Amino acid sequence: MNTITRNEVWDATLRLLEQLSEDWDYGGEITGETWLFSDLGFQSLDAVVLGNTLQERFGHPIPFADLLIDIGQRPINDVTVDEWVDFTTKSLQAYELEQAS
Amino acid sequence: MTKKTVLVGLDGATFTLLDPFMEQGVMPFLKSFAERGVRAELRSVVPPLTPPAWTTVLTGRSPGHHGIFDFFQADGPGSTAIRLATSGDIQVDHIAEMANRSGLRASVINFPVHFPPLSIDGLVIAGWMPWRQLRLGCHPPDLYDRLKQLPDFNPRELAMDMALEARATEGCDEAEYIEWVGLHIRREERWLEVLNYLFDNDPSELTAVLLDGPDKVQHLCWRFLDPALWPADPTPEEIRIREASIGYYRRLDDILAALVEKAGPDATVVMVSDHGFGASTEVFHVNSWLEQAGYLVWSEDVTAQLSEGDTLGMGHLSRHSRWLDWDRTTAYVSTPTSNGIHIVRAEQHGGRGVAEADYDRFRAELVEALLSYVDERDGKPVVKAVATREEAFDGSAGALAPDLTLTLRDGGLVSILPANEIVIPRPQPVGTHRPLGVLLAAGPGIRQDTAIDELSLLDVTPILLYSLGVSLPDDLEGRVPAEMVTPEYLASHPVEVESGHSTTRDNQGKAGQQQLYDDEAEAILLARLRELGYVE
Repeated sequence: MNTITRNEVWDATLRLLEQLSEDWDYGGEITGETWLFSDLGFQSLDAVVLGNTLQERFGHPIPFADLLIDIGQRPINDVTVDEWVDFTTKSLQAYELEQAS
Repeated sequence: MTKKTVLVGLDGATFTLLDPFMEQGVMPFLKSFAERGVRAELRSVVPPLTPPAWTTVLTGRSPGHHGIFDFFQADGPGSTAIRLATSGDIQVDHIAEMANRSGLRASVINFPVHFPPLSIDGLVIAGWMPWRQLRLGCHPPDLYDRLKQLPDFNPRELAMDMALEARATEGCDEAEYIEWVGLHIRREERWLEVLNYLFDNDPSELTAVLLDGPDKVQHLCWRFLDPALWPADPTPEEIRIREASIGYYRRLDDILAALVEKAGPDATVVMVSDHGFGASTEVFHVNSWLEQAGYLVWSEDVTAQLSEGDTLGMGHLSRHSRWLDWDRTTAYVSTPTSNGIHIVRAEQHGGRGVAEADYDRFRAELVEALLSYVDERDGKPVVKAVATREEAFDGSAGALAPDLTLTLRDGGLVSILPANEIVIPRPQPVGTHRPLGVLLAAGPGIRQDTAIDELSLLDVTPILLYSLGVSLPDDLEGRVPAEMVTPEYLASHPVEVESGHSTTRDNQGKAGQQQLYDDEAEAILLARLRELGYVE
């Protein structure tokens, strides 16, 4: 039984991105379809910091490198907020299961 | 009585430049500051690299204890995967925590390996942060919003903006050199604005700030700054770049004057650099040397991997792990920033590599081979010294350190890329680190106009704690140099040592948690390191 839900991860991620995007003067709405790199102007280190902050928030390791390697092999090197949240949720839930077993 | 204490970090500052600048009137304030205080050369750590060195400054512990050896960190002992080092990797107490235990606040501004920020009683603004997320490097969380109210607040200039930083690369044209210098003048001005605000509105007993412009400017512009490299008949372009570069130090002098004035007449101000600077004239392709000597085998598709395009810069950090044939490699260098060779140990790699019983012999032979390698151009040795892990990183955190750390004859950093030639001369000298940095200090009880013998970076934390009136934990590795202080002051303010308190964290760092490793981080970092001259 997972205690961390996708909704929780979504809320945490969106809250963080909305807060940060105010500092970037990003005027658009951030949705699940928003691209981190091409829409929000992320650089790689931004992804690192975002990932680390979510790890801190949830207290579990999340292998973002795996996601980023996958992104690097795509025709378009980018990731949507939805994909980011899905990956984070699955990783956190897998970690919980591993710890419980 | 507790005194206000200010640490000003001047990344990479060296008397090679500061002395002539003080004499020539470029830095009149610094000259007057030196005359009313103490100066000494300050020996850095091994390797003399920004993350381990500043971590030593702020912990009083050597890398073998604090656990930071590079910009990057191995995932675990013997692991070939590496990731960006974070504050969670630091395995000892921070000076801010030592001050807090004595009821004193601390502000720690712009130092590397400070993300995620420590939850101290005081303020943290982590250095080496991407500007878009500088907010996340701030503690307490409302600090960023307060800073945003400053009239000239500009996170792009305060923190890292790769779009700006990537412009400056080796061999860039005149305009880019001058723009690079200008960026760092503006960056120091922004930090001065932040500090003025903090001194006025949120003061701490200990304020530590890092100004990293000297390092950045010197990496790119060293040949225009070092008197020994200045040509007899410079071109107009060289003269313009030199004048612009010197302009950085003129402005830095103004900023230091403003900072010291703001700190007030009763404050102790300690200025230090993490390492010195000098010229690098060649590139040693260490992995190619290891290949030639029979220790390393490239994977078959290394050439294809090297030519891969990568718009996000993904996949670089642990790139060596894909470049190498791990069935046949016994020694390799994974990062271009630390001159550290890792030996593949069979017990950590599923039986591949060097058997435990053979490790000492293998390592000794490798050391011998490195020291006896000579450049075919001049017949002289390229590797000046080799330190074993026990010699360079003796301590509880040493297991993550390289097995061997090289000092090259030109003081430079290795290349990890494959190359047809082992040693390749650089077309022009570039700036690189040297072991001797600077210390200048002035304040109550500190001798005036006094040059003292070389000190250690390990002494900085004891000096700061002494100035604050805080007892020194007895496992600090440095000392309070009595020769810095007047005999009268020392008699009335004896150094107090707190026995039985270990600064080593019992959880071996907070890191375990940080799995940010691999491929994302270094995209930017490598770009930044490249422009700083760490990566060819």
